[in-house]
Amino acid sequence: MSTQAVESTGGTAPSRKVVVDVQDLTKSFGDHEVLKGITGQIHEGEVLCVIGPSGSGKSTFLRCLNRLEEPTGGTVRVGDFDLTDPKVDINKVRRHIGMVFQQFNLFPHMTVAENIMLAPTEVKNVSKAEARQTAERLLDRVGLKDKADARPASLSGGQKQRVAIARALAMSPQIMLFDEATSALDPEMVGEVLQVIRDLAVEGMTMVLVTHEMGFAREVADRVLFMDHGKIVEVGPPEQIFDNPQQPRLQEFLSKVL
Amino acid sequence: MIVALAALVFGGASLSGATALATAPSAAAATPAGSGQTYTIATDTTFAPFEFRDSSGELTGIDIDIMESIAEDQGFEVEWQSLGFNAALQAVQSGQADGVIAGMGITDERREIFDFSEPYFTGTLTLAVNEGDEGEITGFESLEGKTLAVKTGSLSEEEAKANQEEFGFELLPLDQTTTMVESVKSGNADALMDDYPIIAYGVEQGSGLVTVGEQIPTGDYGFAVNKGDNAELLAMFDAGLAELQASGEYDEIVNRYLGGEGEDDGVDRSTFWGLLVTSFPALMSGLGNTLLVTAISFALAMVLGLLFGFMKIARNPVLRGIAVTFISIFRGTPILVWAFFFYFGLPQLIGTNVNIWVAGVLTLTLNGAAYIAEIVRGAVQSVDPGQMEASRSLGLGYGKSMQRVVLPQAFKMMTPSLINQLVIMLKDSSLLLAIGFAELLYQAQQIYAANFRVTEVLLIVAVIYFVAITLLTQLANYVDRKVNK
Repeated sequence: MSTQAVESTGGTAPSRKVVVDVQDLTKSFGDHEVLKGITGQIHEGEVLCVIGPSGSGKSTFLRCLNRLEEPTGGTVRVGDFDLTDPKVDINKVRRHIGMVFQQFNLFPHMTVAENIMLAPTEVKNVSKAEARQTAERLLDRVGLKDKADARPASLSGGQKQRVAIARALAMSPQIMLFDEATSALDPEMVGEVLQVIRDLAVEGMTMVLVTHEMGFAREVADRVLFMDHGKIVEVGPPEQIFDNPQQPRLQEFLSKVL
Repeated sequence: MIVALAALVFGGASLSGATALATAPSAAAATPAGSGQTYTIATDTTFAPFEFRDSSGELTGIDIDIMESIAEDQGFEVEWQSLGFNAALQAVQSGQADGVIAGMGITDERREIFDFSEPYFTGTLTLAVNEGDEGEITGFESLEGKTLAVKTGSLSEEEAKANQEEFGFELLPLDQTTTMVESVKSGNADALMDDYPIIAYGVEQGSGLVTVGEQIPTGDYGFAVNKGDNAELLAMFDAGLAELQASGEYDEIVNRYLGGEGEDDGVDRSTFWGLLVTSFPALMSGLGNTLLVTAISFALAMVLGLLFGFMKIARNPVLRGIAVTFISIFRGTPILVWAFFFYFGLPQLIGTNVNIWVAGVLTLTLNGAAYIAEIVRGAVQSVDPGQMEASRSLGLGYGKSMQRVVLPQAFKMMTPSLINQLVIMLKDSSLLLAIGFAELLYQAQQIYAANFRVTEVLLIVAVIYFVAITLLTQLANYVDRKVNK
């Protein structure tokens, strides 16, 4: 466990910058209220793992953080931007938020390198040569240096997800969001993806992970957030959540998954 | 002054009538009014020996030669529109053509709609039956309970109707002589009644029919213009006809077609090879027009189809409504309706001629665009929504995401459907023959209308279509592989 994580578990880190500030966030799909008032903050360098049963709203919560889902009520601030302000340039905000999906969502008509170069060249007007350099550096970092000119279709699931992480990192985001990043992988490939995320945590990347990997959450998280029925049931350091859960709902959940 | 001159030259036929009236007293003696003008003359497609295509695809026949000789004599130009009999009459009525010469009998009924020239040919009707049936069917009196093919809206139909009650036969009205001949040959009709020169010409060409019974005089053939229009053209026709008859050129022309002297260029037309060789130039020019009209229409339909495809998935309900309306109108109506509308209907609404290429391209384009719009919509919607989400998450806007991420994948998916649509459009282009567009099947009709060798000509045309479509599909697939690796 990193030293940063130890500091964070202290709960009071006034010197730490707030990266995400969520106030009373609600989200409804028609009559169905999926998020029923979520409030909380994520600080710079913090790793927050979100756990909970399926349908608890954890993925919707994550998708509200880069407005892939439009919040119904409340406010979401990321960095200096208020995402819930209708006048905000959402494309500008999203440059600072990396997102990794369960299904990877690599662009199949582009090579691995082109996948990574797309956003820097299109959004940041980085030159092709420079973007290519960045892509190669990031691919090296996720252990796929020799795959730059491969097509996504030729990669394994684990390799695809590592490319997806590199693609998100190419924009140098302030925060990375992982939406069940290992759920679609064969068991033997989960490890290689978790290793990349673990490395990011060590480097101090601010991250929110929606995950089913309890062991990994305990290892890498500074704080764990347990959601059920669209509400935060319990939040705290992993030791508290996994070894000494306070809420009966969390105790029941852990007894089923551990 | 220059403007007035330009109006005279470019103003076309409708203006020339008024001009002729204004300048008549001084100019009539020296040069006939309307001299130097170009007139659009409509004619039938399939009325050998009056009008048909010779082996090189050129329009020829008694009507054609008479008209062109008169034009030369009177100093005006003729632009031919070979349309089919009823379409030719419609073209004159709608102003698409200035006059019609199509072996057209002069009747009181037609006099109410058209102004006729002096008669230039005296027509007779004859019955014809399959070779071998001439002993059994000898006239109206032996037709009881049998079926008689007649030409829709022509004197043969009138004459047959007048005798129908007395002799108790069934009528089968058909549009073209070829179809009538085929009906008798296939047994769908027992006999046909049509103009003697046409049937006699066909018998000479080996149609397999024989004429029976007495010829029935039908009256006279005349050149016609829309009632009250183009009086100067009619006057020139009458003057020219008198010249031809006086000089003996008229008899020369008629004997060329009814005197038993066929074309002689050393090719034996009776063999399949001979047919292929003599018909090939005309068919290739038809294929060229087929490919060109398809290519232009497909390119335009792609543009419109993309536009309407995107409008249909737009968030704006007005755009969506426009797209849905467009698509349902053009998918819900037959192509032929639009071909007729754009070529015959539209000119009456806007008061000016519509070029046949414009009408043909409009027809194929709008129909194709409706289908392509659906292909585009389907392909865009079938791209995994995760692709758009991933692109938007990286900070690309909706348009950029569409352009760089969704559309390339959609195009790859829609390519097979688009190739399919291209092939359908190429085949649909044959429907344009109904308005007289000289595409491949139209040329084939022209050829078998003159020689009555329907099966062989259609076989050749089917092979040409097949080869053209196969090559086109191969080419499209090759491009697909190159572009959508």
